[in-house]
Amino acid sequence: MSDLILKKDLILFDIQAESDDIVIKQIAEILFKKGYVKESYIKAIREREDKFATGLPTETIGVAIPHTESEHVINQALALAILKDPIPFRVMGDHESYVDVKLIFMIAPSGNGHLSTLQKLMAIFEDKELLSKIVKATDSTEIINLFSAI
Amino acid sequence: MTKKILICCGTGICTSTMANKKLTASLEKKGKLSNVSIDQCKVSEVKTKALNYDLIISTSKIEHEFDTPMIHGLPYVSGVGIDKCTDEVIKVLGL
Repeated sequence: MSDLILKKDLILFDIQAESDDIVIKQIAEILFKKGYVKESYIKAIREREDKFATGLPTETIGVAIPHTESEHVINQALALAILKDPIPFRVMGDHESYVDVKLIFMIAPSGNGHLSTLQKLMAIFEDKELLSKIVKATDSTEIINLFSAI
Repeated sequence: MTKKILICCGTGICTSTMANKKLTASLEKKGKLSNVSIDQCKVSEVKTKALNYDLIISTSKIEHEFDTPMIHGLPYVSGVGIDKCTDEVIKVLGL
C-alpha cells in the first residue's frame, strides 16, 4: 500500500461557508467530482462529523480532520482546505466546546496508507511555524514543498 | 504488573492510532512504557471490552457506561497538553 500524499489538485484556497457541515459538504463534493470517493462519502462524512466531531485546537490555530470509513473511498486521498474566515467546529470528544477552524485536512482513507499521513499531520499540528506558513501560503506548490520537507 | 490501556476512536484505526503513537512516546519519555500494554478499538466495542482493561482513553465522545476509568485523549491528537495528560494516566494507573 502506497502512502497517502497531498496532491496539488486537492489543495483548496479561500474556501468560504456558513457552517462546518456546509464546508465539509463542499470539500467532499470536490473529492467526489474528481473521482477519489463514491457519492456515499459525502453523506457519510457529514454524519460522522456529527457523531464524532474532529475539530482540534492546536497551540495557535484551529484545525479539523474530517474522515470516514474506507468503504466510501475509491482512491485514497487527502484534501487540504484553507478557509478564508475561520468556521467553528465542535471539538473532538467534547461536543460542547467549539474551536475556530482555519485549516481542514479531509481524509479519504483506504487500507493502511493513511497511517503515515496521520503521523505527518500530527507533526504539522505541533509545529506552530509550519501551521502559520500553510495558512499564509498562496500557491499549492509552496504547500507541497512544505509537506515534502516534513 | 502490566497495566492494560485501551484507546478507542470512531474507526478504531484513525485517531486512536495517532493517540497510541503519542502516548507510547510520552510514556517512554517518562520511563513508564514497560509497565503498560496498549490496544486499540472502535468506540462501538468499548463497552464490551472495558472490563478487561485498567484504563480507557477515548478520542471520541462516549458515554462512560462502565466501571473502568476513562480519560479524554484529545491531547494525544492535537499535540497540546500531552505531558499533563500522561501524568494523569500514570496517576490513574498508579505506575
